Amino acid sequence: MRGGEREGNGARDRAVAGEALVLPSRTLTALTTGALALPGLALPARADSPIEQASAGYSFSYYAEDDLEKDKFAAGTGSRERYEVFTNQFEVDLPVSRRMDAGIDFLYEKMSGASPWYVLPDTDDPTQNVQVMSGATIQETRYDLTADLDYYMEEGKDTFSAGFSKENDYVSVHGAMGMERSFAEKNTTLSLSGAYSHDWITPVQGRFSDSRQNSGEKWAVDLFAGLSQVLTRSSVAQITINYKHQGGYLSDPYKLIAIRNDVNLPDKRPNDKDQISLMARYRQHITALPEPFAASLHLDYRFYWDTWATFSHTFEAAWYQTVWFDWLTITPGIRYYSQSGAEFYKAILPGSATASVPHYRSSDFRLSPYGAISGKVKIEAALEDLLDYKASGAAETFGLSGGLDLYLAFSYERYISDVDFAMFSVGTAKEAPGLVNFQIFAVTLTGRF
Amino acid sequence: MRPLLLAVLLLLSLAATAGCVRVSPWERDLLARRDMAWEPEGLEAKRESHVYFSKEASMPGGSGGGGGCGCN
Repeated sequence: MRGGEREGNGARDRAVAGEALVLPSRTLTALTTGALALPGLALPARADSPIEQASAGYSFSYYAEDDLEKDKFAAGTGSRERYEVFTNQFEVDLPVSRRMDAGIDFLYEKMSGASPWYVLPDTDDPTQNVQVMSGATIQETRYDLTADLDYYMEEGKDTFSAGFSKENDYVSVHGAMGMERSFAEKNTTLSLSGAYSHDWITPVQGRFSDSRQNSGEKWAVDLFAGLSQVLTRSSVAQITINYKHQGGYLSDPYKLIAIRNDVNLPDKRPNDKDQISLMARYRQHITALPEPFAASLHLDYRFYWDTWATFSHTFEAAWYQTVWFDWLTITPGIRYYSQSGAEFYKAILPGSATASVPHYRSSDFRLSPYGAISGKVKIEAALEDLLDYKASGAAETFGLSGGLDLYLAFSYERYISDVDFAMFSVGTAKEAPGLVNFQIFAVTLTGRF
Repeated sequence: MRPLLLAVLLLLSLAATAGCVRVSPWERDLLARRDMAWEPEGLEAKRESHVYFSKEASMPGGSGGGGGCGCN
């Protein structure tokens, strides 16, 4: 690769030597670049009265990133084999009383593979950049448990939720409160919620980095407001706004940024970040189709902006096509995403270490400008009233009603990102060679009892 | 900020329709359908949201935010 340039260059010597790097987790990368999605805001999309039947669900999914392309890979620096994740999700929802229901979500996943580390100029063509990767030796397990409780009243409900998420190098706890109130004969619904999360990060010390800090903490407050409006008998729309403030250690201790022809520096990002996300959603049931066909159109748009000067647009559309009454549904969907880069994002820093270097800097592809297109298809079978049994007194208490409905769904998604997909043109210097493509296979089984 | 203006306009037009549209409870059969929910399947929505925020710079909008740390 960089041949003699590496001589006497400590950090980079270790970096490009192609050692089997043991990065403990990609947690921090995602943590510091994406927002920590506040679980408290993942309020279950339930009806406006307590559930009457107990339900339980299980989902298995396999997430696999494409290998990094050869021409974007800094040869000899680790592995082109990127991440794969096996995820198991469980959920249980129970009626508790006439006014209350409760739910528990549990997630367990295993992750492994190699991760982008920093970027160098291509030795064959210095106008192009290549990605230095870690070894494919990252192995991580994540657990996530969230519990929620809904309390219903005549014109709305209150929701409380709390949970935690844990990995080797990372712990997060979170809690949230939300309320929903309906007006105008329940044609209009206002939702408000607030959430807080606190994360502790303990980067695993590796021999390839001298400057990694021992530990870090971050916290986030998230406020949410939404307004839903029934438009017609078959259409409904919603507008939501999220504001989030993050504070604390937001850098990625597992990433470096190269100075052209010089040393590597640690990734360094500001200690706070404000984010705003606006979303509009629309649902239209298509009544023109004859039985046994029916369809519903879903349209979503989201605008996002943060104080790191990143903004993005997301468009999503899905068509829920009932093939035979409600027993079989096929749902194709498409998503387009485009983001600008963070103001301190650079693939490689120009100049040399003796010249002044930017206080904030990151080569993380997640902070780079790009666009992404994904397509998805889902097939769902609904098998209702499969069993008719007599629930005993105790079983009835837990919401077993004497019936059984089963829902079985398979889905596949393909996601491709590229600078050429961005809404606005991106220069070669800004192009991140580490942009990710992935696919997800999932199967979900849900039962109502 | 044009998108913000757009959102405010959308919000206002939604609020404006609130006064004139009345769909009675007994006319809600279509709206109550599973495929008309904001997120028809909770586990799927949570997983997807988690993947996107792990790989992109934006935070999820709406009420579909996933839990945890964004490790995949």
